Amino acid sequence: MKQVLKEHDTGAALCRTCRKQTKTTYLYRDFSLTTPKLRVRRVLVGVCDVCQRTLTVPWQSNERIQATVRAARARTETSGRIEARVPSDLYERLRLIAARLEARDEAFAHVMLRFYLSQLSRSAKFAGRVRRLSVVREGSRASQRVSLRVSGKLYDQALKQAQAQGVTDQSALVRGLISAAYEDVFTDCSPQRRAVLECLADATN
Amino acid sequence: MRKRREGFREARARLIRALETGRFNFEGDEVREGKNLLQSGEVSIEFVIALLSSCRGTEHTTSPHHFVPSSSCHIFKPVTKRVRWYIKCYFLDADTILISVHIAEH
Ligand SMILES: [Zn+2]
Repeated sequence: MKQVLKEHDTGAALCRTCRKQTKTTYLYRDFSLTTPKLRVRRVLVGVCDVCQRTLTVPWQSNERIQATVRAARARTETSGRIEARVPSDLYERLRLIAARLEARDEAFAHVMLRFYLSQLSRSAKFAGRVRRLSVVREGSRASQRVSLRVSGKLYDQALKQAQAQGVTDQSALVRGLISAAYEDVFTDCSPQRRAVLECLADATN
Repeated sequence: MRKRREGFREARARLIRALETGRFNFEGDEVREGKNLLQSGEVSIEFVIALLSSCRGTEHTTSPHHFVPSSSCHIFKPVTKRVRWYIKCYFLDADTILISVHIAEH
């Protein structure tokens, strides 16, 4: 049977700051790691009673930290990243969509693009529309960066569908997705998708 | 006459018991790569217990703790599959603090 510590239990440790043996109290603190870079919330650690420095990490807390590390590693291994550069007028359209739906800009843009990616992965017809809309107007410079993390499954399916429709690069893909969303929100071409976007906007607020 | 290693059996039994019960701490407020493979999850508690069980008295030493030299640490350097390991800890009252678990440098 493993023994379990709880908050306010006490112990002893050698303190690097105090340069002596001190008493410790187990308290909840956030724990930061450098590789991979992450922060584990509210981990029970042994804190020096004299200088408040974190001196010890009990075994049970380390199990939690390692579980978080494993989960983070699994996430990065199985996820894909869409990296795109888009002209600033398209970037403005993203903003306008968010404003029209009274959504929070950044969070909503990511959720919306993921939704459109998933629509694209399910429908060749929709993918064809995205390709038509991905055409760049003359003279527009791709000055804005759009970066999106998606699950590995969605990434694979969406890119396969996009490629089948002739959309071969990620910037073209994102241009098409934004333009499609803009049409859906500002014209009446797809009331269903517009309704979903309204729900997503509410959900991210 | 050769000096008997200070508290080898007691120290080893105490560390094994701490590992078995889960009542031990890692030292510090960070996870440093390569310093403690038990902390980073690269080796299991069972593996460390097995290492300690195979450790001989001649593979045990004590040394002053690096930032509180008046306290002493126990160092176990057992060999398994021709690889020497380095396990360092100290005991205070009821507490066990495990500083290092890694392959020994030559
Ligand atoms: Zn202190």
